[in-house]
Amino acid sequence: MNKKIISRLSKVIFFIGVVLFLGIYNYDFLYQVGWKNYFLFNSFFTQQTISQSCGVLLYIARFLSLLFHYPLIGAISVAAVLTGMVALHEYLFDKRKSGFSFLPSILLTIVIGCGGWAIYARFEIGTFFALILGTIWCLISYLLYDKFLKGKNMAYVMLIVQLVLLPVLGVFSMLSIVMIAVEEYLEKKKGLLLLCYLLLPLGVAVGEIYVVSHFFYGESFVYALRMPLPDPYFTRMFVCSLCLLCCLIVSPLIKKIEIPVLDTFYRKFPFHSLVLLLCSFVLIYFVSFHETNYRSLMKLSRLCDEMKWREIVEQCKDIAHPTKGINAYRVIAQGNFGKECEKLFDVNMPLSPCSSPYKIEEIVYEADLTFYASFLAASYHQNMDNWVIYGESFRYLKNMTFISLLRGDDELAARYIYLMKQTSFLDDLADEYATYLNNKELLYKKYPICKKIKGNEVLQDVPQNVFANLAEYYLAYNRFNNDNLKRCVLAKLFVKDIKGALNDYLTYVKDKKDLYQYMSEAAVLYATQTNDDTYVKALQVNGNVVNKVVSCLREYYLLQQNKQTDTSELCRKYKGSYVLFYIMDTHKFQSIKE
Amino acid sequence: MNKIIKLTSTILTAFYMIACTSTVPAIFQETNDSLITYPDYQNITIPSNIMPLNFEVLNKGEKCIAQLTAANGETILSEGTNKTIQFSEKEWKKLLHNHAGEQLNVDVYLKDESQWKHFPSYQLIIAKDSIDKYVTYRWIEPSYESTGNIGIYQYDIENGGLKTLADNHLFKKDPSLGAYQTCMNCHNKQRNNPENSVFQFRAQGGGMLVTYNGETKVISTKVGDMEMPAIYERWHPSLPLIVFSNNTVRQMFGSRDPNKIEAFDWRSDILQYDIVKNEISYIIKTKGQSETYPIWSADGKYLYYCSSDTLFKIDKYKSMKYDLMRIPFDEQSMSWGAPERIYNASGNNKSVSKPQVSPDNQYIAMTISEYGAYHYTHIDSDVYLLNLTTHECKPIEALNSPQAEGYVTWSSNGRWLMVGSRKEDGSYARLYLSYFDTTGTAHKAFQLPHEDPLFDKNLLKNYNYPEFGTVDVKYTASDIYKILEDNAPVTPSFKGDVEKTDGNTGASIIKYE
Repeated sequence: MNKKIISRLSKVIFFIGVVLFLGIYNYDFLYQVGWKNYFLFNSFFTQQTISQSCGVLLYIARFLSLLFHYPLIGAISVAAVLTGMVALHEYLFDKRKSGFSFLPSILLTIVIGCGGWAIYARFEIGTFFALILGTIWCLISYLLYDKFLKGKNMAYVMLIVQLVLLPVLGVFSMLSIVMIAVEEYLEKKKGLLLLCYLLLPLGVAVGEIYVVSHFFYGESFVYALRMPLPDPYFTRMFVCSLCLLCCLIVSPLIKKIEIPVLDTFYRKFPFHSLVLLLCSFVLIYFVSFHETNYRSLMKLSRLCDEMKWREIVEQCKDIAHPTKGINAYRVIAQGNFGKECEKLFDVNMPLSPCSSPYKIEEIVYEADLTFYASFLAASYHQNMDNWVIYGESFRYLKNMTFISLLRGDDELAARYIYLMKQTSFLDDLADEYATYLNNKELLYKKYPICKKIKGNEVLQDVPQNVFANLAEYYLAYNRFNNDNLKRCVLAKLFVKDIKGALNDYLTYVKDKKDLYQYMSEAAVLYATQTNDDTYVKALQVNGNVVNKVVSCLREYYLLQQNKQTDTSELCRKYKGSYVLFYIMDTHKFQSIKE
Repeated sequence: MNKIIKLTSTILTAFYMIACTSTVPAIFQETNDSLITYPDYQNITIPSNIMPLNFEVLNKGEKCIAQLTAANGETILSEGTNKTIQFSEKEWKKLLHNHAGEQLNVDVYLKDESQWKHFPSYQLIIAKDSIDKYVTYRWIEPSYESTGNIGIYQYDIENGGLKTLADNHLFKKDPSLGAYQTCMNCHNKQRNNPENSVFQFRAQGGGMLVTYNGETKVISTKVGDMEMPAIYERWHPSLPLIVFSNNTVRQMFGSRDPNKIEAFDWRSDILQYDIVKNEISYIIKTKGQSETYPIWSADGKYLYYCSSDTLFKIDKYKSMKYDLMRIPFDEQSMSWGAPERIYNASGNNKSVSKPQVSPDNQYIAMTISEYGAYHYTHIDSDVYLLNLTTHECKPIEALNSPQAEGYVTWSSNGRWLMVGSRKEDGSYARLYLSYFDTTGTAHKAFQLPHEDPLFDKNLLKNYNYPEFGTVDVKYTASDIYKILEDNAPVTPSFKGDVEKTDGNTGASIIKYE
C-alpha cells in the first residue's frame, strides 16, 4: 500500500472516529450543547454578541453551533471540517505525512470531549466552533502567505489585515502573524518584514494591555487577547486549547526540520500514522470527560425532554451508583406516573450516600424536578435563575415559555414566543406554542401530562425554598385524589417517614393493592423500630415479609458489627425491597440484634 | 473614461435618491380599523426635546408609511421596512423644535395585499416644557439574582445614547459557578444633577460611592451596629448630607402568589451621612417600627419616609402596612424635629411606598398597594398623587395599569413623571413617561423611546430604579472600577446615641449640636 492510500485511509478513519466519538458516544452531550446554545436573528442580539471581544467569531460560532441541535449532523459537520483541516495542514506543513497534521484536529476533538459540566456553567458555547474557525483562519492565512505573498510587499498588507482583525479573531489573528514570523525566520529572511512581524504583534499586545488597563474595564476586555480560548477555570479545555496554539506555532518548524532517523522510520513503517491515529483515539477517550453518572444524567435529561418515562426507568435500573440527579429523574418517571409506582424502590442503590462530587449537577435536574412536581412557579424561577447566572440558552427560554403557558401567564409567554420565533431552531416550536395562547385545552390535548401537572398544583402559597426534593414537594399536596395519595405515601416512604406513610395508606388510599408490598415492609420496619406491631396487624402482614425484613436488618447489623464495607451481596439478595432502601444512608435506625 | 464614470455614478445616485424618496400613497382606502403599534404612541403629549418616537405597526400588512404634519403643513415622513417606522432624527428634531406647544397630526398608511389603507389620524401634542435629558436606571432580570448581569446605565432621551455607569462584570468570578457576583443599585443625584451623586454596590470592599465636588470616594456603610449596608440613599437638595435607610431585606418566591416575587424587611432604620464630617448617625432608630425610603422635600426642610410595624414572623409579611411620615429638618442647626404622619395608609388597610416629592413641593407621587414596601412586583400596586395642600390622595390613572407600577420619579421641572410599569406582561418592567400639566393632571403615559422600536421587546431585563438626570454623568464604569481597585473604602465615624423617643411613633430622635 503506498503512502498516498495510507494517508487517505487514515483521514477516512479519523473522520469515522470523530463521528463515532462525538455523534454516538457523546450524542447526549452534543444534544445538551445544542440546547445550551443561544442565537437569535435580530439586531439586538447581533449587536450584543458582536460588541464583546472576539464577538464576530463567537457570533458565527454560535450560529454554527445550531448544528448541534441534531447531534449526528453536528458531529458529521465537525468531523468533516476537522478532516479537511488535517488535509490542509498536511498540504502546508507535513508533506512527509508523519501524522503530525492530525494533532490540531485531535486537540480540538479533545476540547469538545472535555466539555462536561462546563456547558452548564457560564461557558461560551460558541467556543467549540470559534476554536475550529480560528484554526482554519490561521491555516488559510498561512496558505495565502506561502503561496501568493511571500517575498512581496503584499505581505505587509497581510500583516495589517491581521492586526485590523484582532478584535474579530482575537488570539487567532496574532497566531497567524506569529506563524508567518516563524516561517520568515526559518527562511532566514531577517529583514524588515520579519522585524515587523515580530515587533508589531508585541507592540499591539503591549498597547492593548495598556489601553485595557487604562481606558476599559472588565474581564472580557482584559482577556481580549486570548479570546476565544475557554476560561482557564475550565482547566482541561484551556490546556488543550493552549496546546493547539503551540501546535500551530511549531507547524512551520515541522515543515523545515529534517530528522533523518524519523524519515527512515516513516519509510520502514508506512502504517505508523494509522497506529498513531488509533493511539490518539485512546488518548481522546481518556482525556475527555466521561464520568459514567454524568453521561447517564445527560441521557436522562434528554429522555425527560422527550417524555420517555419507561426508558428512564429502564436506564436507571442499570446504574450502580446513582446520584441525586439520576434519582430525581427516576422519581420523575416513576413516582409521578402511577403505572410505575410499584417499582419505585427497585433500583440498584448503594449503601453509601448517593452524592455527586459535582454540585453543578443540580442545574441539570432541579427545574425538571420542580416542574413535574407541579411547582410551576419554582420551576420558572429556577429556569430564570439559570438563565441569569449561567447564561442565556434555548433550553431555559423554551422552559420559561412552556411554564408561562401552563400557568396561564399568556402575556409573558407571548414575549418569550416572540423571541423563540427569531431562532432558526425553535421557530416551529414557537408557532406551536403560539396556538396555546388562550387555548389551554389544545395544550392539554398535545401534552396530556400537563393537565395532571396543572391539576396537582398546590392551592396555598408556599415559599419555594422550604422544599428540598421531590418527595417533600409531594408532602405539600393538599388536593388529594387516589393517585395523589399514592404519590404522597410513596413520597413519605421516600423520605423514610414510615409512620406517616402507614397512616395515610390505611386512612385514605382506596386502592391498596399497588403499594401493599412496600407498606407491609414498612409496617414490619416500624414494628422493629418501635416495638409497636399495630400496623403489622392492621395490614395482616405475611410471615415471609416479616422474615425478609428482619433477616435483612439482621444481616446489615452483622456487616456493621464486622466493619465490612462490601454490601454487594446484601444489595443483590434484597434488591427491590423497601427495607434495603430504608437502611441505605440511614444513620438513626435501630438495628436488630436478636 | 473618467467623465463616463462620473456621469454614470451621478445618474445612479440620482436614480437611487428618486427611488428611495417615499411619498404618501396616491391611492388608498380609508379604514376604521384601530391602528395597533408597538410601542403605543397615539394621542400623547411629548416633550419638545425627545428623540424620534419610532414604532412598529402590528396590524396585518406588508409595509407602511407614517407622516407627521404640523399645523403649518410642514411634514416629515418615514417608510417602514418590515412595518417598522423610524423617523430621521434630524427632521424629527427640527419639526419638534419649530412646533413646540403645537399639535402634530400623524397619518399611518399600511399596504396589505397590494392595497394601501389609511388609518384614522392621531395626534401628538408637543409640550413646551422640556424633559431632563438623561435617565439612569438599573437593568436586572425579574428574578433579582445578584450573580447575573447587572448594570447601571445612563440613557440619553434626546438621541438614544447609552452609557454604562457601572457593570458587575467588573468584578471577579465566583470560581465554583463561573459566574459574576455582586449587586449594585440605589443611585441618586442631588437635584437630578450628577455633579453630586451617590450609588451603592455590594461587592467585597464595596459600599456607597459618593461623588462630591468632583471627587469620588468609597464609603463603608456597615459601621456601628448597622446590620446591613446603606440603601435608598438621598441627597439633601443643597447640603452635603445624604440620608439612607438600613434594611435587612429578604426575598421569597411563592408557589401561587400572583405577585411572583415577594420582598420584605426584617428591620429597617433611617440614617444620615454627613460628608463634611465623614460621620454616619441615626435619624430614626426604632425597635417596633420599620422605616424606609427616605426622601427630601424639594426645599430640604422635611424628610419623608415610610413606616410600618416591624415584622416578627415571616408568614405575617402581608400585615406590614406602611404609612407616609415626615420629620422636619432644620438646616441651620442640622437638627431634627418630631415625626408626623402625613398619610395614614394603614388606616385604609393599604401600604405606601417610594414617595417622591415634586420639585414645587406641592405633590407627592407614591405607590400604594395592599401591603409591604416592595411594590414593584405587586399586581395591585398603583401610582397615587398626594396633594400636600389639600391632603387629597388619588390614583394617577394615566400611569396605572392592571399590572404592577413601581418606581415613580419627577423631572427637575416637575412637568414630567417617569414610572416603571410591568403592564406589558406582568414581569418585565418598562419605563413610561407622562406629562404632568400645571393643573396637576397627568397625561397618557408612553414608553421610553428607542431608535429600534423593538428594543424593549427583545430585552429580557427589568428597568429598575429610574432617575432623571439633567447633565451627563462624568464618570464611566471604568472610572468606578479604578476607584474601587485603587481605594479602600473609607470608614466614617459612627454616632449612635439616642437622645429621646417620640411618644407617638416610638421613633428615636437624635439632636445634633
